[in-house]
Amino acid sequence: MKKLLMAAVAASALVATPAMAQVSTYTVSGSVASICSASPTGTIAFGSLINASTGFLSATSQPATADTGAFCNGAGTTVQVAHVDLVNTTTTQSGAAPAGFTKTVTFTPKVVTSVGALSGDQAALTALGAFNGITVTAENLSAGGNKPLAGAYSGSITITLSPGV
Amino acid sequence: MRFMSHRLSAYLVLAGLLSCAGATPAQAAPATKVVQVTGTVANFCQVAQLAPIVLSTTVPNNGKLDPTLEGRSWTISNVSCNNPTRISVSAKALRLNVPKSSLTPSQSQTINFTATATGWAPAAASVRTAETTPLGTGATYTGTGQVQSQAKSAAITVTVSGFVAVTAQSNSAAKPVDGAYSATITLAIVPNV
Repeated sequence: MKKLLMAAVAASALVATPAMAQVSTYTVSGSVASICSASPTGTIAFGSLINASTGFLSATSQPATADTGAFCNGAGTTVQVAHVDLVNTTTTQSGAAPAGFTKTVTFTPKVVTSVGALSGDQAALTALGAFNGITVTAENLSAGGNKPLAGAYSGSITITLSPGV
Repeated sequence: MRFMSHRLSAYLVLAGLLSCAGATPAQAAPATKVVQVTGTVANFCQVAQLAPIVLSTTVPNNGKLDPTLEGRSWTISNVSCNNPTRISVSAKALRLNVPKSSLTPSQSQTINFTATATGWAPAAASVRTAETTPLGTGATYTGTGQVQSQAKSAAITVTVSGFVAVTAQSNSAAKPVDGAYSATITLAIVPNV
């Protein structure tokens, strides 16, 4: 009987003084790095640049290179665009081209993404934002009213995508 | 209880660090894409007059060749080539339009001459017909070409001179038979590669 009473008292004591509540907060977090990805190369091939009847520039087609896998995931992404005009790399003509002819065909680079288009060189960092896919074209070809010298022409467009948050 | 408290603090610090890391995620290096732009320009020449030059004259019955033939010229304008070229001149001798099959020793129906093209290459391109018999053959003669090492747009002048009737060795004084005569002169401008 005595033992029963002691047990009852002990149980009563436990009920009277319950344990203090413990609150644990777990923060779930992660990070996504700001990145850009693009195929490092591409080609825009105009083929013949002149009208076979007149010898003047006639490249009416607008070939483009599409990089559907290119992307940047940061809203703060910036882009720079630079280009080198088409220059005759095989002519035997030394020095400047004779009057009425030219060794250079100028063009305007154009970069089109899912969030907008940029035309012309962009020397400064230009806001672009996150995007998927990029298409590059060379537009507004010009020989300055001259006839291009015969030969192979080569130029380039360089696009630098800088990640930003 | 103290142990639990320290452990909770450690979790909170770690969570704080992760939270900070999420706010400023790492930035990868810029991605650079280089697009090659290419094109070609074929060798091209534009010549307004593609047909041969026809030199025509009528020899009267006195056998005297029209003196105005000497130095007669033609200008071919708007010739343009976008590459180095070689120009050459070809010609047939001035010959009776309806050639006779036989002639007397005092007659000739063939007249040699020189055609010269200037205005294109630094040196004139020329040809001299070289028929050797009064009857003639109607052969085409082609002169040595001259090189223009640059692309060029210019007019070309073709001049004829040095008309000499072809005579038999036995009669150097033979005269052209009367009638209509003609000759053709052809310019060729080809890429000099």
